[in-house]
Amino acid sequence: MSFMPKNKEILDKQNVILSFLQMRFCENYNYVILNEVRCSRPCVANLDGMNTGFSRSLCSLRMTNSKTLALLRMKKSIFGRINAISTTLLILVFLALSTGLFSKPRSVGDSTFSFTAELGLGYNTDLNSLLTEIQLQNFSPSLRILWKPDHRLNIGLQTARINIMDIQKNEPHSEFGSADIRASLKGYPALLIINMNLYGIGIYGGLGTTYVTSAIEAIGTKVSVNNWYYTYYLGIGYNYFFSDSFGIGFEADVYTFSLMQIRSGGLKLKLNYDFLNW
Amino acid sequence: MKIKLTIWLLLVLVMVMILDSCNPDLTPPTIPIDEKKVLQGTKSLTSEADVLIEGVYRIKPGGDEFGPLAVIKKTGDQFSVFFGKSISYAILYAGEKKGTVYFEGYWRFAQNSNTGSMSLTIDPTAGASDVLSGKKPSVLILTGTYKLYGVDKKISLEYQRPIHIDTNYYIISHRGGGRNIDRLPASENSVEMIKYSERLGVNGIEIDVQLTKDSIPVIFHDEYMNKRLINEDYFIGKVSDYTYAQLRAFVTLKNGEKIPTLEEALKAAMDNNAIKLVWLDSKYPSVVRKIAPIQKKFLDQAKSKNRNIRVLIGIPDEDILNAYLKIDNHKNYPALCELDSSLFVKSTAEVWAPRWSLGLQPDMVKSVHDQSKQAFVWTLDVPDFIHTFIKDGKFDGILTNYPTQVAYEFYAKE
Repeated sequence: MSFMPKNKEILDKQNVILSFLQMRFCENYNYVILNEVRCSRPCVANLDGMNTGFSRSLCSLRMTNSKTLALLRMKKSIFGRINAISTTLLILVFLALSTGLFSKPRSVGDSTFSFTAELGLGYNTDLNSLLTEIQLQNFSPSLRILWKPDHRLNIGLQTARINIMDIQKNEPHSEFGSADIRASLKGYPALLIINMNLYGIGIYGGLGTTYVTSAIEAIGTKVSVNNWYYTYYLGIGYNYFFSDSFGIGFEADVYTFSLMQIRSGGLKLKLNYDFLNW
Repeated sequence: MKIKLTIWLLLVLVMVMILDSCNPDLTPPTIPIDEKKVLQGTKSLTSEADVLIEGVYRIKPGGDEFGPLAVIKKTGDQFSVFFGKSISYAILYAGEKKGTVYFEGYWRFAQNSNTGSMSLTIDPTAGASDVLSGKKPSVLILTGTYKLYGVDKKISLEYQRPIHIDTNYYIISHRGGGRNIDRLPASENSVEMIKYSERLGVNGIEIDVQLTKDSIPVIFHDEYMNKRLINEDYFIGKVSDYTYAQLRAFVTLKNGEKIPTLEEALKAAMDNNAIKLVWLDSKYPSVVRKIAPIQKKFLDQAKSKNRNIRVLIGIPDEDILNAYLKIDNHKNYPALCELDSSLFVKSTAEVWAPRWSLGLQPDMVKSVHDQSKQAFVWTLDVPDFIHTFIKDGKFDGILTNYPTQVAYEFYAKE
């Protein structure tokens, strides 16, 4: 992305905006205002020689319409005279005002702290044998608790019951004659999850361990064993909150169990519930 | 928004690729072993010619990849060429037609998947006439080409001197011949690997012994079954969790072989005339009592067939030592002890095998030799140290994952 504005004339006519543009985090002139205040990173602005810190929560407010521009322009005349502290206060007031006017519940709702529970139910399958041994009964529930602070980066814990595979097959030419095997592999992960949301699209990454159980019944003997495996998790999904507390979503995810070299891919529907806000 | 979304998606893709890259690539290189075009219509060489061709050669063109020297050694039905650089080697099949000796096969680097065909000839004027008539030639030059990244490159090997011979020295390969990570044409600890191992210049193998649930000794390295060694996802327990029948019917090693029993592995070793020593790495104490009678039975069979082969029970820790000492007449069961000098004496083992990182230990090795016993080191893979141990050390053998490098250093020794 280029820092070069596409329309410098507009900038020159609007000194206030220009001073915003001097913030280092501005990436694209189309977002002259938007980017100044929506940038997803904590940033520092240099206004009248004073370094002003912006937390990302303030920066995340929507300010794209003409009212926002008008408010900025109104402050243009006093911008040169007020001291740095006043400038900061004005901006904070402005951002707070914008929050009330233009933000929607949940869609930009990272200005408060909350805990969200995401209950998922979906279908998982071993990606290594995706085309050969699809097991439609492999429905897997999952539970994720996310702490959503006033930053875009959320953190939480996740567990699930993953039906990694469930097969039944026959080996007709074994040295013991025709032999049948029934085997299932289930995983119970405990993962530390990090999550970022953008435009309702959430990306999830996780690390942790999975308690894997294997049950095999073959040639007259049942064997149940278990083991722990380091596990990586990646997910991408969409979340939509239809009220202050409830939302729904869907997610595609992949668990990778180390050493077993199994990747279990899945699709799931989610019910999201903000059970604690402050 | 589209640009940011694209970046997000690219980020996810990159993360998936990074995570995926953690999985080792165990795919064996595609070896052009079947391209025997030049050898069509040739006759096999006599054993006298084979011996005359063995030697240390100076490499003319081609030294960039393979170093200045090469060792050519007959290994079973083929010749192996051990190069001095980059742990590289070649496996060549030979034949004679109209007074010219032809070699055809492949070369490869042991540590990566680079490989290619190699074709060499000895012209009648370059020594073939003498070699084929059983006379030592005054000049012996192999010339030809090898393929590197799809390009044919010239190579020439000129005979310098005979190979170093010491029939009491052991080049012992790990896990039956090589590990899966080394991308050999057979799985580690398989019968197929034991059969293949002679091409790598070995005269000894180490194999790992565990017991199935019904106490059958089988060959398998890791404590838990996993995708590094087997193809089946749902076998995740220890070998001892499953019956022999379950393992044999439903588990395949990475290249599709079955997990061998100890008896199958020993039979494969006995059928492979290059192998003179089998080191049984006992994975836990209860293994020892089970493998001892099999060892005895096998050694008796070898003796009746006049086959010179040793089988040693490995003693890697004190628990296994105690299990070994509890065997009735344990001195009748040849063993190899990896423990310190006092425990080695206690073990009555005929071979002492410290880890190589403890150094050359000349005094201890001399003490072992004074007891008419032998000393090996394990598991030595570093080319510089292989050179040092062979040049300056007094050990009687090296256990390694790169036997071709040990073979090069040993046979090129002046």
